Amino acid sequence: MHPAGLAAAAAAGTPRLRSHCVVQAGVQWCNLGSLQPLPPRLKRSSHLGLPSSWDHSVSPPSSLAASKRRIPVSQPGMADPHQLFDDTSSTQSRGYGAQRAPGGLGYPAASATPQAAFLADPVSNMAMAYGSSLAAQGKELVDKNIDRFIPVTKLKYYFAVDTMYVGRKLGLLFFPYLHQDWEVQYQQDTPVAPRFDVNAPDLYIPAMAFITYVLVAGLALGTQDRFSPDLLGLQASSALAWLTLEVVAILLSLYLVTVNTDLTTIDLVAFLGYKMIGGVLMGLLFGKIGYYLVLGWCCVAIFVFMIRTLRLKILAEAAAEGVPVRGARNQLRMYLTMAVAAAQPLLMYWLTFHLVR
Amino acid sequence: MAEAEESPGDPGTASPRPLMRDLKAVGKKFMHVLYPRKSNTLLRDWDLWGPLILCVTLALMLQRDSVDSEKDGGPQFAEVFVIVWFGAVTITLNSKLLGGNISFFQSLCVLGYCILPLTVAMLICRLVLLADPGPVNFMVRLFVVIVMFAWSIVASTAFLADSQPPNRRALAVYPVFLFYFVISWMILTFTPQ
Repeated sequence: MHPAGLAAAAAAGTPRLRSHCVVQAGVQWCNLGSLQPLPPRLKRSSHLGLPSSWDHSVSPPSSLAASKRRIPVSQPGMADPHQLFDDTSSTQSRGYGAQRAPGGLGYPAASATPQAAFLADPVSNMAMAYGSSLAAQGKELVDKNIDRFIPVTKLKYYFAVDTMYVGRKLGLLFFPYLHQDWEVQYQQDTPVAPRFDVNAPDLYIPAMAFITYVLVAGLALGTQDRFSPDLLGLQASSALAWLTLEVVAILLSLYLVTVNTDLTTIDLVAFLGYKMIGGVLMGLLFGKIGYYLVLGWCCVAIFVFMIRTLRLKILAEAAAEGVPVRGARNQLRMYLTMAVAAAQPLLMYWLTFHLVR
Repeated sequence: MAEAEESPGDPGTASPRPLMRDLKAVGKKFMHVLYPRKSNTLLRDWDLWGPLILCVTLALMLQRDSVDSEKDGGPQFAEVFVIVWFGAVTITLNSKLLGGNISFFQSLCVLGYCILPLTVAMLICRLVLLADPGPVNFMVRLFVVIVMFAWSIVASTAFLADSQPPNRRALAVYPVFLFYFVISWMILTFTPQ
């Protein structure tokens, strides 16, 4: 443990037992994560490093990303060191008792909260620092590997939505006829976040629609006295299975037709998930006439929506110029687009018809 | 979840935590839920004991009385448990993906504690069900459940809404609404056998 670190930490005078920063070799490094193998007396391990990795937001203009790494240096009149962490989700936003040894390192300029009594015991301080360094490394490892399996940063792009976007997108899903420009805007080679462009796909609406669909299905069955809680699981898993099947089938056909498209898998999942909105609406209705009316409307709407969206992705060159599609290859792609779009209403009907009796 | 309290500069010894202190902490948070106001207690000193107690109580009260009757009564103990915890985890994931600055366990803690009004509703419903069944009975239960459902939503929004920027609050609150709606539905449709 660097002696300078100890000295720096001892500089301030309050008897708080929290180390926020370690100065080593003249470099202050602070642990933003909280995964620490704490020495035995610290019973409470902080939460997983996993969530904190999501805070290092890659996605667009979010001042939150910047503010998370910054902690107010010292808040005047702040008696409670817990206040320091209220705004971050990564580290010790949990409170610790005044006597407790710190759970981890914090932010720069934290000589504001030194621990005089703690420093009376340099051995434990050293152990803490070592433990924290191990924890930081472990956390990095976890973050790196998690990112390999679940593309967390990519996922964050699809959740960069706001209420206005959701409202406009829902309107578009139900009434796509008047919308003119379906092209997603780009910003230096990366597509713009959904919150800035209503054409960009997002995962919030499909995810919420899916959950709402499962619950509404349970509700609909409940009003017909056919409900039992395991049915919720059944609905959820069958809808999920159909969606997965659809995604796999489309990916396969895109591969076979050798389409050069920038349609990623997650994009595809997002687009295919939009039909669950129709499923929600239809599950909400009781009575056959209402059901078929809404079904008809939703089917046409989602068909048009999918055609117009996918046309730009799959038939990119031809569609961009607005010329009619010619040539065998383009024809194949057009058939593929039509097939995908036609599958939506069919699946919508399949997933909801048993809810109406 | 226990908070170790030891004298500073004395590594390796942990005094045993009195049970009362834990209970008092849990009780204090219950009060915060029942009278929601801007306070950071739930967020700062999160613990999962309270949610566990509430969840177990709710599940015990909701489970169907006899194992034989499949369709009557209510869900099994495990089903309630799973719904509550998976619902809470899903809401937390959603909140984090939306870019909220609340941590995983803080969110779980808040959601769990805000089940308290609904547990109270369950207790009241059970008492009301001791009387004769009928439309009046149902109206009373409906009213109680609706009031407690609104209370839960208000309480959890008071804690969770601050973690999101204003243009995304509705998006983060919507799954919370769904979650408590499901629990209220389970409470309302419960009929003892």
